Amino acid sequence: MKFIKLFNLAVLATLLNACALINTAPSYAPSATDARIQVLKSFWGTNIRITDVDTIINSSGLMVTQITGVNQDSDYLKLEYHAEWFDREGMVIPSKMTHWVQFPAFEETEFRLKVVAPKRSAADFKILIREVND
Amino acid sequence: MKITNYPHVLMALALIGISACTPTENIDIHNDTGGAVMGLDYRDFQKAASEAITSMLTSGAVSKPDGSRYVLAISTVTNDTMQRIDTDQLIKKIRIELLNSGKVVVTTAVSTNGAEDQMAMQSRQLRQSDEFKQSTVAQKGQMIAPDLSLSGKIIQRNIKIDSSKQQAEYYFQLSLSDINTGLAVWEGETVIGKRGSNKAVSW
Repeated sequence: MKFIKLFNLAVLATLLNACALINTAPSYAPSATDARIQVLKSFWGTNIRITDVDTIINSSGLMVTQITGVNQDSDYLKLEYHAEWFDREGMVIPSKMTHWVQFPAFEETEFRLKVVAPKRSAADFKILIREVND
Repeated sequence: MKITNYPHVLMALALIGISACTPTENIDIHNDTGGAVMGLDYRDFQKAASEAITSMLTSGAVSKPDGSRYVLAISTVTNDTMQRIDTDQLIKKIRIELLNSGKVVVTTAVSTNGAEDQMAMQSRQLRQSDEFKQSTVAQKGQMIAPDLSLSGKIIQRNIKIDSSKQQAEYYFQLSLSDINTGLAVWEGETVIGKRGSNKAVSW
C-alpha cells in the first residue's frame, strides 16, 4: 500500500514537472538583431532566422523597414507577417495593413520583406513572423 | 394521433440532426486559419488592398511635393468577374488607409456616376430658402476639385485543368491618374490564384 502511494506521488511530481517545463518555454524567438521582430515558433520549432533589419525614412516621410532572414529549412516555406505601428508615445496606430500578410521563403536561401508605416507619426513597430498552417 | 408516414418523419429528423451538427461560428478575422474558397473572400480583398496601399505609399505617388494633401476622386472600378462584387470592398480599404496616411483626402462630391454624397450639392439648394440663415449655407466656390483619380478593374479567368479540377485566377488592377495631365502616376496589380474541385463554384 505504501509503495502504491509513493508511486502515485512520483507520477504526480513527474507530471507537474513536465507541465512546468512546457509553461516556461518561450513560444517565440526574439530576433538576435532586433527585439522588435519576433519569429513565432510552431510545435516543431522554427527554421527561420532574422539576419538584418534596416529602417529608413522614405521621401514621403514614412518609415520603411526591410527585414532580411534565412530559411534554413530544406523545403520552401510559406510565411506570414503581422506588423503593428506605434507613435512616439507608444500608442498603436490603427491600420488596415495590420493583418497577417503572406510572403515566400525559398529553401535554404535569404528572404526579404519590406513594410511601410501607415503614417508619418509612426516612430516604432512590432513585427511577428510565423509559418502558414495550410 | 397515429403517425403513419414514418419515412417523412425520419427524413425530417435526419435533416434536423444534420443542421445541428454544423453550428454557426464567428470567424476570427485576426487569425483566420480557415481553408481557401474558390470565390473571392474578405482575405483576398484584404490582400489586394494591402498590396496596393503599400505600393502607393512606398512609390511616393501620393506625396505632394509641398507637403499638402492631394484630393482624390474615385473613378470607375469595373467588376469583370462572374461574382456579384461590390467594388467598395476593395476601394474602401484603400480610401481609409490613404486618408489615415495624411497624404490624400478623398472627395465625395465628384465621381463618374455623379456625386457619391449628394448632400453637398443638395444643401446648396438652400440658398433659395428664406427658412435658413444664409450665412450658414455653403458658399459658392468652396468645393475643391480633385487632383488624382483612382480607377481599376477586377478580372476573373477560369481554366479547366482536368475533369475534376479547375483553376480560378483573379486580377486586381488599379491605376492612379493625374487629372491635370491625364497621365497614370501609379499602377498596381495583385494576382490571386485558386485551384480546386470542379464542383466548387467560383461565381
